Amino acid sequence: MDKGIVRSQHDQVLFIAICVLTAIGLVMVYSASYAYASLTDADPEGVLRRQLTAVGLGLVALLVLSYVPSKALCRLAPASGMVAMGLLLLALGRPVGPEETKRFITLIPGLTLQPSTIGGVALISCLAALGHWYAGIEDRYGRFVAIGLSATAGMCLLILVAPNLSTTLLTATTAIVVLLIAGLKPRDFLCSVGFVVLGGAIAAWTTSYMGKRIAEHLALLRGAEPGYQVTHALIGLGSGGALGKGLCRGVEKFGYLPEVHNDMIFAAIGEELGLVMTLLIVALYGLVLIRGFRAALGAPTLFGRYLAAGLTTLITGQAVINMLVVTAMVPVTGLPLPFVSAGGTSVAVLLGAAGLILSVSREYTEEPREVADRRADTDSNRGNGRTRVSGSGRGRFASRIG
Amino acid sequence: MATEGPTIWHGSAQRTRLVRMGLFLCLAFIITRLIWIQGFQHEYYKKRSHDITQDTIDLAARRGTITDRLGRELAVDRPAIAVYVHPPRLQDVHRTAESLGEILGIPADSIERRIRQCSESFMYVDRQADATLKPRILEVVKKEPQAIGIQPAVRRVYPKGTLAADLLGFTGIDHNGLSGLEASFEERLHGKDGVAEGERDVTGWPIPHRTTTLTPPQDGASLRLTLDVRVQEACERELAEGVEAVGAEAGCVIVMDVRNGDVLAACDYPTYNPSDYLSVPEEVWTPRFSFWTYEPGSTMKPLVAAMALAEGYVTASQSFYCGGSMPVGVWEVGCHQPSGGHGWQDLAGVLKYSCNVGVAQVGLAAGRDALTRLFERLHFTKLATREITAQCHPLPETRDSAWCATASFGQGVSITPLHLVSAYAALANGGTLMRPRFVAAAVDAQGRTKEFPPTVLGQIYPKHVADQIVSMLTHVVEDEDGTGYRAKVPGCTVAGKTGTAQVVANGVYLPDTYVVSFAGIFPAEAPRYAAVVVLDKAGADAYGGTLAAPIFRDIAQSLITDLNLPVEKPDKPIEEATSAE
Repeated sequence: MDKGIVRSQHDQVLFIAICVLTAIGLVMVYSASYAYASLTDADPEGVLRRQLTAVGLGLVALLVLSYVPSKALCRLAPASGMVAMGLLLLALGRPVGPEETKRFITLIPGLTLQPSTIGGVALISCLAALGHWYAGIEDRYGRFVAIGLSATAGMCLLILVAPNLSTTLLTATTAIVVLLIAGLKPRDFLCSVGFVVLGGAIAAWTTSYMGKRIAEHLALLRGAEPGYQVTHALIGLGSGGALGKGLCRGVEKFGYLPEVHNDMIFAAIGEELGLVMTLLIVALYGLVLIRGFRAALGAPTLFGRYLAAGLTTLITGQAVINMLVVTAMVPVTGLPLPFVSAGGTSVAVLLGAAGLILSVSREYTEEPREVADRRADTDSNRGNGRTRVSGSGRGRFASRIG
Repeated sequence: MATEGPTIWHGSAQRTRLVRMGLFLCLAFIITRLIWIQGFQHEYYKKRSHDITQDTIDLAARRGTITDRLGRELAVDRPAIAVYVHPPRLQDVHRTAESLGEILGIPADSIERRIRQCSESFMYVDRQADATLKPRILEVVKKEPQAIGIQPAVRRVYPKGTLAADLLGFTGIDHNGLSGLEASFEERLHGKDGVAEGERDVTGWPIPHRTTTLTPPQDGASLRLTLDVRVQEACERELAEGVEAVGAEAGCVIVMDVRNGDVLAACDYPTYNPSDYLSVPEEVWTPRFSFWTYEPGSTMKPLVAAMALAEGYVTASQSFYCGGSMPVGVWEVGCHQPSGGHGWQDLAGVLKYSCNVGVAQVGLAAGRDALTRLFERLHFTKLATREITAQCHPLPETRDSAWCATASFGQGVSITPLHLVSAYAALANGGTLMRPRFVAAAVDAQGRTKEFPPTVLGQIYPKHVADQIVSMLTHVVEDEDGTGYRAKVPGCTVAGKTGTAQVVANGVYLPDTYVVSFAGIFPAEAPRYAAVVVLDKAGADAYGGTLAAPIFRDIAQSLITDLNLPVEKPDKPIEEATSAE
């Protein structure tokens, strides 16, 4: 190992932040779901049990993946993309039923898999590997853009027809962010962002429920009362005040706020535990953001950097969108709060994704040097024979990006 | 971002930091937004939350349970669900009406019509739905939780079904008694509803452990009846079979404990299900045994004979001649006897053969004032009971000698079966008229018992006369040629009298329409029970002896043998033997 790689220990701070979020999630999922279950005479512990299963599976995935070296992850990335696409196609092949059904495939009875989230994580891994291969080499740029954008488009299309517009937009945005970090030129960046905005708008207006939500939100900007769900999310948050009504003392979960244990869990947290807890949760995502990007910036390989940056963006971006929905700042999307919301696949897959970030964090270098230097090493290992460039990296990056 | 010359891409730390900065700004924005909502707007949202979820909640008092003399439940409150809608908020009236109608068993179009016609912002669809339907109702509520809701409620359940329905009555949509004992004891049974304050969930249901009671509900008092479920069951069974067999229009049976006036059974036929009282015409709800008045016919004879004997107008050994008919004023009193009448007979014979001519002579001997006094002392002109719906008629204005003659055999006097059974109980117990008693005690929610003791209305006959008449009446049943021999019960001596009376409608007697009855006392040696069987509008050729007596026999038989009612030890009072509380 290079002497710059100072520890084989994964980032404990990041790991603990994720565990705390997950633990808060378990408590609040139970608090919110037992009430709703009592309303419908369903099994009061049913949601909690599923969540525990998912968290258990997710933690196993997290630990296992955090031990896989990023070099191996890089080689596995294209395969994971293929698997994810296969799963999405499998879900599509199921008989068409109500709106939601195509999003899921049943692994074993009682445990459904929502491949959209897997698709996002796999796409980011693939793009990270692609960026690693591209490595700013000019004659590879054409292929980099072509492969990167078509992979993004393909995966997003599969997620879009699931149908899951909000996940599609999040995945597409994150993918473009990864491509941007990996060297996408501004012109191409703007084109792809424009394409995403255009495609998103068309998809939104043609999908009845999304169109309605957006219309509602536009009315909100004109001062109208938000839709029923957002109104109750705000009432939940606001009525909680600074310290909240107390754990389990919330009212919104008794059927007033739809999806309270899921997309709207943040409102339930605000109602029961108050501003103190909502700020703590924002702070924990901030910590995930700091430590995730720290791992990215300290990664010894381009793949590691892109992977950690992309996945951290995916996780915190999803959290940001969820919290913006709950605070009535963007239209209702249906994205769960990472690690916290109930929803089997989301928790398990995002914990797995966190494992990938932790794996990158293992190879963190105390004193970040030119990532490209080490990349050159790896290339030379493959017999590519590149000159080793040394110097203060930041200055050089700045000059190149300028 | 052009790169110049042969270059190596180093991965953009700058761009990475840019992305991180963007996400940080988002989080910072969320923090300000949270502080705004949870800090500055807290009071506003707290009030909105309060307005939406806090409410006063009615705590329905439990209506008192009605039990028989041994505590077997006859009417009891069970948890139920009230389903309501807010008509203005309802998006899809048709679909809601259809799905609720299907679950609640109410025609969907009637619900839909009511919702559309409702001008209020709140309307009950069903106030007493079965509590087990809750999950299915919730499915509907979930579709429009702002417009449909449920509340806890109670409903009246009659565990024994139609048993004693006419006596018990039923409660209406407000849980108020509308008929029978439920109505007449409404004040005691109902209790007082309480009020609580607390949070409701979206369906309107109070959230458990989130309510504060302001006024606790006061449960209603329970009633312990004098009725015996087993006796009632046996009587209803025999009555139904009997009425169906003879093709009468209706019938009723009362069994009374002669010592204290306790009504052990009071049955009507046809009856109805109190849980579904709207499916029968209103007349069926009325307790026939206490409300329906009729001219009792020959069952009156022993009552008049006893009076005449006691007051010395006749003697037991006196002979009466019956030549088949007898002129009284402008009228002709006759016996249904094919050839020449009953001839010479003593008072026992007059009763045994149910001789109209003979008893008319007794009535004429006693005279108008004595008969009037008798009927008044027997409370025939007053309500037999105030515990349930009852009726009474005054004696006719003109009470000439013809009335004296006909009243002696029960025409020209209108009474209810309850009057008659009380009078027979007086004959049986040595002459004391007891007020019929349906309710033995009321026990309030605090456990305080209010007894309703037996009431003595007066000594009508001297004991030796009453006993003498009872012994004469045993010959009616026990002798082969008595009119009531079909009422004979093996193993038990029965004293009784048949009755076949014409039915008055618009002041004239209807041809070929009779009320046939049998009034009996058993066991005759030491009387314990008096029972009356009345069949209304039996056809031509109907006689009390042929139609009513067999029903009486079956009832008496099943009471004695199947139910093993105490007949051997008359000294032991029923009250002590049965009431544990």
